Amino acid sequence: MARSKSDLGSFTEPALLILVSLAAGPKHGYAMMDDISRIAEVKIGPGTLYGALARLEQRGYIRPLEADDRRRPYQITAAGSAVLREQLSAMESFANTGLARLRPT
Amino acid sequence: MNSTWILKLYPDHWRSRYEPEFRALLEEAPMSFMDLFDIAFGAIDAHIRPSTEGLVTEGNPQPPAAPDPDAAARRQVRLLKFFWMHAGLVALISVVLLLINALTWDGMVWSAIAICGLAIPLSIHAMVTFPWRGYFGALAVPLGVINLGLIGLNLWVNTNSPWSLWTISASLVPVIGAGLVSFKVTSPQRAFGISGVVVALLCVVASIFEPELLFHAVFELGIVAAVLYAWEQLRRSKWTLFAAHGFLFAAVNVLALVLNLVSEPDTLWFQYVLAASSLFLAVHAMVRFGLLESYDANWEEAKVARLISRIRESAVTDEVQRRIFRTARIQRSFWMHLFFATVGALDLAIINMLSGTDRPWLVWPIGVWLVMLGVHAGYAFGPNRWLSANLMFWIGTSLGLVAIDTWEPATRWWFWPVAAYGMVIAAHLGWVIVRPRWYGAVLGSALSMIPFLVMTDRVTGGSAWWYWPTIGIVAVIALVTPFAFNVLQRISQWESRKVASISRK
Repeated sequence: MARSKSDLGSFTEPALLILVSLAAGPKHGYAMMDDISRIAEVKIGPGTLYGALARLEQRGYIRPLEADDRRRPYQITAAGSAVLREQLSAMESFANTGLARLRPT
Repeated sequence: MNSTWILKLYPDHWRSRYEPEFRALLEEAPMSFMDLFDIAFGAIDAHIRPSTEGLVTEGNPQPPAAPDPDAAARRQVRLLKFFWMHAGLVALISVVLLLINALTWDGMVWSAIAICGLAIPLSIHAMVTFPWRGYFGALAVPLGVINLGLIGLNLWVNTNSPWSLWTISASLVPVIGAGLVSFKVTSPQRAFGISGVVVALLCVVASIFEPELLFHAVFELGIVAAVLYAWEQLRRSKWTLFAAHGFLFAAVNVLALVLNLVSEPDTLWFQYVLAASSLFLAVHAMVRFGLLESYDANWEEAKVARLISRIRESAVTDEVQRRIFRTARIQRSFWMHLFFATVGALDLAIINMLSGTDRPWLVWPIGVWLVMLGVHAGYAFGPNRWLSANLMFWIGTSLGLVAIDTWEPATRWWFWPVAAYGMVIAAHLGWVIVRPRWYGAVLGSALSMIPFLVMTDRVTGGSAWWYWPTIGIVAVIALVTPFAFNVLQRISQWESRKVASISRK
């Protein structure tokens, strides 16, 4: 059964940002923070990042890989890719509607 | 910014899963002061909505195994051992105190006060070692012990007035709030609201005896409403933390001014609330606009560079580098502590001057602050962190006690607590220097009794009786040592068995 966005908990926005960041390949915590600040110009704090990571891992949207020294990279799962695609499509549809309404008639 | 200490706020299951990588992130990423709040909120979130308990991941059915399962078991056994050592020590001291009390009976059960004083830290230690119902247990058990002691004191001192009822009522408020959250009855916000209403109701009840407390009930309700409103705005991400703090600053001061003008128009005190809350808002503003943060980061980088330059390049291993970063962070946190203490002391000086009293009461809170700063300095700069911190605590409290004794009619009572804590310092010194450590601790405290006896002999104006117990101490050390090593062997066997049993589970 497809999971809805509300499944992501209160860290909805950080969770989406993390999934988008991991869609480009596995990354560890610092690389994710760095990537998110570049692509979305949003700074995620370490507490928020790991709160969202724990929830995403519990729901099976991401999985931990073998740790490199103490830094553990995470990878998006098939379920994570599916829920991300669903969310981004919904946002795209919403954005298209908004832009269409802004066009002069 | 040293943020690693704050990890202790996270629940154990979260720490066992994420702590190593989270520490690595904190060491790698430049942390700002505001990140501390972010981590603290993350810790609260991990307690309220645990997502690592029974972790199951799709495509990865097994959570990653801990690098060394025995290490976790060993840590658990070490904590258990420390707790039982603490409990044993408290039991032993209690028996000794009861015996001394009985042998020198003068109609006062003073040993009960001392035993209650020892039971309070033991109850906190018990809650750390055997967590029970989260914050509820951590609050309810130590507060229960404190209140039992106060009830006993109330029955013994000033029996006509049931003053201990007030402390019981006051301590019930946080216990009720934590209980509502720990037993999942309601959300933390509602629990806070309910606790606030209980405080207001207590004020209403107390107003039967002191009618002006009715205004305090209204004040309490106003504060609770303001906090809940700010909390909700923060939760919905409509406000920043600084905006919420600014709102609370305005709300508290307006309410304090109204309460002051309505309840005690002849004695203005709201300016003290204004002065104290302005201090916190000013510090938050400095953090918010980066005045502390930039100073902080530059200082830490320069410190690390200085420490590394003192070591041969080949000796800078990962472990050494980790220690250097840690030292720099601990020392930086000391300078931050000193900064806040200085600002706080200036604020107290202003309040003391405004209060129009000749009594310089500010020396007491500043004295306590100085002792804390001394402990922090010992930990940050001392050769052996914990021993230096303990030594600084002893020196600071001893100087404080001597000062209090000099201030009040001097009876040289300070000698007894200073000497007693001096034995603890000697035990700690033995623990650090002698191997095995526990034997060093016992030896240190036993040997420290000799100067203690000599001094007692002088203070009490005795007739050089000190050498008899000294001979006894030396004889006991000689006789007990072989027996004690046998006990040590049994403790190690117990540890091995316990580690094996925890690892099997």
